[in-house]
Amino acid sequence: MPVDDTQFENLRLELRRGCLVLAVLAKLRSEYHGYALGKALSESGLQIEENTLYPLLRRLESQKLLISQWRMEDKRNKRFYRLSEEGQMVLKRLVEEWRGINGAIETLLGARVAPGRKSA
Amino acid sequence: MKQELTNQELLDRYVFSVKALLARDRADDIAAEIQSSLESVVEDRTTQLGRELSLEELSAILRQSGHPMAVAGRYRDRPFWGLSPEVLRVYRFTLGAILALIFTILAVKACYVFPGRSNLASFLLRFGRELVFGTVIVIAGVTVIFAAWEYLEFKFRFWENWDPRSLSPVPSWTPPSIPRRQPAVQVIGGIAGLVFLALALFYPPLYWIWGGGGHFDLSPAAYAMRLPLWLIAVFAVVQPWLNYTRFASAEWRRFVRVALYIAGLAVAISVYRAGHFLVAGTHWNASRNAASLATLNRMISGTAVLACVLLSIICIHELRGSMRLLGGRHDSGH
Repeated sequence: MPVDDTQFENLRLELRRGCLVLAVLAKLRSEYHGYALGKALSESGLQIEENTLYPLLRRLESQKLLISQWRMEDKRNKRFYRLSEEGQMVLKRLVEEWRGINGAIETLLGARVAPGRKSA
Repeated sequence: MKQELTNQELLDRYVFSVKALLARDRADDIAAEIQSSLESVVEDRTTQLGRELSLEELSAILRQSGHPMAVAGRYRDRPFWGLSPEVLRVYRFTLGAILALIFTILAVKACYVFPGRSNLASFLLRFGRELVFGTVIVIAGVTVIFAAWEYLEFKFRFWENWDPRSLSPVPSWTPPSIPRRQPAVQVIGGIAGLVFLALALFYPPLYWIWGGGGHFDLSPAAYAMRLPLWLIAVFAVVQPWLNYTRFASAEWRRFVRVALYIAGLAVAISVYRAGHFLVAGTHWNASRNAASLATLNRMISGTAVLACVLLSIICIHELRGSMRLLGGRHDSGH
């Protein structure tokens, strides 16, 4: 892989990392088991590898943001995750933060595009 | 005649291989989840294809899931220096194998050398020195090689081309797991250690008999530090006990740890500056033991330097955490 692509890949991963936590927390307002959650995120346009998703779920659970429960579904035992009360509060604050950052970035990107439009 | 491998056996082999590499207290739970997730993938793919998966197709799914070492590595709680979870397992395995080899060589050498030595103390010192230097050099060497490997972004090719069918079969008999009595071991071990340290610091002649050549004593500088040293040890031993109480995740513990590391650092610097920690006691046979005592003092000074470096690193890490904690509180206060 050329050097520029590697740099881009690192930056892309860095950008995605924080977003994934927010996406997982947002999705887990409803209850999902790991595989279904991965699929749901993928269908929403956020691909996440299982090897990243499951350790992330465990980390969020150990931070008491998620609660999990083993339950039978389709004759198989599955672990279901959902947001805890603490997780809901954290999600609310993170969403506010996200909207602030998103707005600022959009403004910055808009300001960058606007002069080009004028000159065209 | 060799039996054909079934899909279920292959899946079991994979999950077992991951489980064998996980921390024992969480292994069952994590392995059950990995198994459940893989079964969901297989079920999904079977529905899509409208038929059972072939062994090759299941192998492809397992390869995509990752090598057991890489998968197990991702469940580690804390990152280890700069090494990524994928590399960490191989790093630990390599380090363990080389250390085991070094220890075996040293132990064999010690058994060969010891019968010819009359002075047990100088033999133990020499053995201890070789053990410490060997361990430090191996850890440093292996860590640097792996860090460079990561930095240069070399890939572990066998992880890309590995074949799940080559994984070991699940043994038909597994030894019963011995329940861990961690809190009890920590408490009993801690109390025994503190009692020993108290006796060693406050009455050293009781323990440090020097091969019939007299005993040694603490230097005046060491005598002056023995109470703070023992109190630091008490706090250090009690710290992990709190993990089994309601103070397990109390925020103030971070500040206590910082204070403890700073105190430890101060003592380590004092020990190093004092130059010698031990002096000859009564009935001391100088001609026989002088070299050993000098070596022992050098080892204590060297340990103090190492302790200074390690404590400084840990202290900076903890201080950064404390600052973030205070910063977070400050932010949320507004």
